[in-house]
Amino acid sequence: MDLLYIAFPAALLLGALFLALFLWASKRGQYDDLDTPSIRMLHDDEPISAISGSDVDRKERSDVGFPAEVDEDTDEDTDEDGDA
Amino acid sequence: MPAGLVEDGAERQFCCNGCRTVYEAIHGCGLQDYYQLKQQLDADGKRAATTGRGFEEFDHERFRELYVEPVGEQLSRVELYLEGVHCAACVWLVEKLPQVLPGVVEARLHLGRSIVTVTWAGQSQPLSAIAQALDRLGYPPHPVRGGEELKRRRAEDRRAFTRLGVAGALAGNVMLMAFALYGGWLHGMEDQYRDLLRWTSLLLTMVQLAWPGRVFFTGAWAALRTRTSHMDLPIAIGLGAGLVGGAVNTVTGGGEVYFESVTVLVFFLLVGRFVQQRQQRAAYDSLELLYALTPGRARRIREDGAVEEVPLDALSAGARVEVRAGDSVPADGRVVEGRSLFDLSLLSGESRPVEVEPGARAHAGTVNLRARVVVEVEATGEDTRVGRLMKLVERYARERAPIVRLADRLSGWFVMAVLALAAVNFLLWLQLDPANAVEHTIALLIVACPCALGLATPLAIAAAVGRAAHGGILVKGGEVLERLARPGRVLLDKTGTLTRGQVGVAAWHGPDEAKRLVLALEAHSSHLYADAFRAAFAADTAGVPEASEVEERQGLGLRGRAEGREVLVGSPRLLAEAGVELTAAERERVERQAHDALTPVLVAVDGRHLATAGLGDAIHPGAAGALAELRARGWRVGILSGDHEEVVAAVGRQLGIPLEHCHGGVSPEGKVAVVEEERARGPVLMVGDGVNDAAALAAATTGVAVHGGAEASLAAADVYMTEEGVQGVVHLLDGARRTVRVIRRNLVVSLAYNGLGVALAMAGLLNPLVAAILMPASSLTVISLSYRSRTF
Repeated sequence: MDLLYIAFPAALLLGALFLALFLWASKRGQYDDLDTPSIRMLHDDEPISAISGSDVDRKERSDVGFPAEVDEDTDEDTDEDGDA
Repeated sequence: MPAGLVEDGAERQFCCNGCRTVYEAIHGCGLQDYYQLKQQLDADGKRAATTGRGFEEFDHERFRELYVEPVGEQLSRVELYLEGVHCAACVWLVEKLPQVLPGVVEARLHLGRSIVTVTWAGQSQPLSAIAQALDRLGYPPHPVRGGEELKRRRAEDRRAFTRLGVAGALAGNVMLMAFALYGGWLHGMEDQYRDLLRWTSLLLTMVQLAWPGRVFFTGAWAALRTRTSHMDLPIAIGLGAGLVGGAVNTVTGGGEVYFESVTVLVFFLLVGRFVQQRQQRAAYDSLELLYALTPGRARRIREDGAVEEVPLDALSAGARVEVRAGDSVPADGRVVEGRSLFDLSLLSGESRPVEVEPGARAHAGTVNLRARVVVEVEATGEDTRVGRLMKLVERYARERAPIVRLADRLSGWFVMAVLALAAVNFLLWLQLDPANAVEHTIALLIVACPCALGLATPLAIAAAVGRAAHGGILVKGGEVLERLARPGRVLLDKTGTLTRGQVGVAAWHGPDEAKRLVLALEAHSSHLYADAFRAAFAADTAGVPEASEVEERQGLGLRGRAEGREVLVGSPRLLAEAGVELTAAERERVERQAHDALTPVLVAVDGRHLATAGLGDAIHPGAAGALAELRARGWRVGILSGDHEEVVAAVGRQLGIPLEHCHGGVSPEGKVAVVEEERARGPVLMVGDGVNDAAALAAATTGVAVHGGAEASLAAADVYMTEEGVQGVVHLLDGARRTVRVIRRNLVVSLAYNGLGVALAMAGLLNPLVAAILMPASSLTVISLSYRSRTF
């Protein structure tokens, strides 16, 4: 049972890690829009090369967050799972 | 169809496979009529249509400074409001912008707020090209005004959401540990593990109260300092008692801990507040979209005579602007070229258009009805008459005393009752079982913490505001609904509220055949009344005969021939000059119309009087009924208008409003004076739509702006209604009354739960498990009561 003394802090640490991720995403404004992402996932993704005419190279695209970042809906459950 | 998505050679074009599938499915089932029906529905003009404008003002330097934000070296980003966004397909279409337009890197549409964020390579495309592309897709863009305020609100939303997330994570973890503790409580547990769980819970609870839960303590502190009662106070007492009691028991290793109740409480309360805030924001966002639709551009005439579209902010005194028919005047100034009719109704409340000629003053906010004029700008922005009125609005909005919310008023008594009960409980247990007296008292304080009470108001209001928005009533704040619950004086602005605000055919006595003859003659006239006749008889236009020898006599009317008959359309004087006799009954009718502030227009054929029309600002068909309903609800009705006194008196007479409550010819400042005088006697509900009403809207207990309102009145009002006329006010009042009833019921139910908890605690029967069940049970009851009740 002494294992609990290690498992407990480890689980809490994991939880804290997820919390930190949530804070990071929230700070970057990924949760500003809670309505559209649930609809956007219905649209088929297209390969980047299909988007024509842009003279901006691929690196810059990723700078502005182009191929869609993971905009998953908010769910605190992930944090709790960390400890379970 | 946007050019980029057109499929060559196909008979029908689709924006996406989804639409194609739906189209095929509809056809497969033989339901083609749907498309005809849809076209009829679209004909209502509800859909935003492509404007085909050039959007030159988007490329102006000033526009760039205000709205465009550089991203990195080459990219720029801009946020634009889009008209006509309503569903998931819109998201798909708008976000295909990079495909339609080279140089655009990304387009992200926020469906709830109709804002698209476009990132593009700044050099490769002018912003106007992007605006044109969006316009071609069917979404005319507008700049997002509001700057700092918008940023501040967004930061606030982010903070609220972060708090919610953190509170949820901590509450979940503490709850998991509580399960282990309950297990140990039922089946036995070694002290060292129990202490480990308790210490960890204590740590997380401390974080919970210090971080997301801090809002309650700051709120309680502010309430204490200002000696007002606020819902946060009893909440803070409960949370504090829970933490201190639990901490003591953790350190000493005895008694009970209530950490999970405390942390979950914080989470639940934050959820309630978040939900309310979100609904409120949705209402605000819809209003903001309306602001964005008010034109923010002017057509400036350059030195060389060419006309360019510039943003309003780029205008300065001395510039010459062109105002085309149908446009509103962008700044205060003087007409230097052209003659036209100006509609002043939004600025002054006058329902009759005013003729302008070179030398006449032109004010921002008035609408040019007839022909192109050139205005030399004298004052812009805050220096215009509208700008000065806005200053007044801001002042009254600041000075308005906040009302003490129902729940806050209750919380003062609540705190006293809980503290008294706790004292009684402590003394009682000191006699019976001194060792556990503190323990039982802390349990009482925790279970008395008003979780459901804290949720009662926000949830009821969130549900009501959401439903109201669905019905076209946008409510800016929850307290507005509480304020409307007590009846008082309702002051209605005449133009646009009781009447349509434009000249129309208000009365018609005569055969339908006369309508065709009137239209035949009026087709040759560009007089304001000709437009009114055309609009009123539009359904009868089929088979309008051709008129000849039409002669217009200034101020009198028209004379001409149609269907081989001599026709006269005009004032009684025109007929009298032509020797047409009127019967006594007709003469009386004409006099009655003049009394009702209508202009009589008579029709005579071959020297015989045939029909009589009354032209003027027609009263809304539903107005009389709606006023009766308002009176039935205990509101006293009055009119407060900037229109001519006799017109206001006539409208009041027709609607049965006593003359002393029909205020006509009132200036914006005068309106405020009337509102303040009435406020001394009770709550005042002001309903208006114009710039001239804005200050009065802000000064009233509650201000309601109605359909088609000016920007200033939107900013000043607490409620905006997309529905025209007074009927919406009745809906609003009914909804508000029902909402307050739901709030009251919620408060009673949550108090009952608190009472039960306190009784259990005093009897010494309370333990953490009972508390943990009681708390969510009460919250769930309140939630279901809020969302199940009919309000709007």
